[in-house]
Amino acid sequence: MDYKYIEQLLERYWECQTTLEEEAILHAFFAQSDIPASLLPWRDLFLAEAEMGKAHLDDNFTQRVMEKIAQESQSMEQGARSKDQEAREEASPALTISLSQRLRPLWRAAASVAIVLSIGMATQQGFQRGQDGTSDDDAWATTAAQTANAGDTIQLFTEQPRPSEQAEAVLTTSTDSVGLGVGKP
Amino acid sequence: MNRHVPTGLSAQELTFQNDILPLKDSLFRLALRITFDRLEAEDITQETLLRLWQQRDEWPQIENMGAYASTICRRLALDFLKRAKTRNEGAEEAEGEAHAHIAPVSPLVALPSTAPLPDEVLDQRQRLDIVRQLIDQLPEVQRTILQLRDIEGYSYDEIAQATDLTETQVKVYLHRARTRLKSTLLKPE
Repeated sequence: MDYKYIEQLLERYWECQTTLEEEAILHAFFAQSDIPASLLPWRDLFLAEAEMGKAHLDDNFTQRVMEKIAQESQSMEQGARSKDQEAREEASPALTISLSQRLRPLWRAAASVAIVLSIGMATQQGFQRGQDGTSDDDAWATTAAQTANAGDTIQLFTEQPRPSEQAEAVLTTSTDSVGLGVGKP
Repeated sequence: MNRHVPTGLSAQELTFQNDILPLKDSLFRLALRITFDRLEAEDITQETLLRLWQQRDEWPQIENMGAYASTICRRLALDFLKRAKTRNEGAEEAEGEAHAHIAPVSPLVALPSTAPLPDEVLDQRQRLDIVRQLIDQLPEVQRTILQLRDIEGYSYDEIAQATDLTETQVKVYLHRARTRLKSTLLKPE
């Protein structure tokens, strides 16, 4: 049998260049009974390592651990109630954060509405301008006129006597007439 | 008291049974390799498993359970050594025992260098004991890394995680350990 491969693996093993698979091959090789004299010095190392890998806990260990874990879970459940309360107390600051976060989409919505509106107005104006076929100067003029008209409307509106004033006037006249009536029976 | 479990296991209890509990023997061997104390190694293994259970909400974030469990186990074992050392130093101040934590060396260990006995005299059991003791005499980091690699078959990445070292450092320590074993094993020949 050719042991060159094993010897090469061993060389790489000492240099820590072997993979886990190659190390498994070495372990399997040295587990055989038929080892050449040249490789005998290393056999005990691999056999000892294999032996050390067999050390294990007794069978009751698992049961003991599972019992401990059951106890642990139980005491955790008992503690859970008080923790629930703590959680509720902690909930209020968390809520304020989430509230401010929840308001964020609202602001976003408002911002987007504003943007849409301004774009809409701009395009409408542009559209009107396009329909009129007016030049920029004309457009300015129209806008100025429009603004002026709007101003007039507002003025007209403010110049109109307030209903309360009207009512007062009516009232004074009526009292006068009444006064006249009373004064001159 | 324990009637809580048998009715039906929760998902976490199942994960614990299937993925974590099977690590017990590997953890036990690691603790044993560090403390040289069977009973202590058993306690450390149990403590490691309990701590893993207490951290069950963090399991999804744990990349490699074997490596993570080994980290906890090793820290517990090293803590035990520290405590044992201070206890010993208090008790044996006069002796100034620097290596109180190192297991008493069996007379067999000295055999290969002082009076090598031929293979036919020592039976296999004894020869393997010698190698085990050679490994046990390595510095703790080298021993732990050799244990995790050559006995438990962990990858370099996993060992690096378990020991808080880089992969390069792990290879350096492992190289030292293997070289030391190689030269010691060659000597008697």
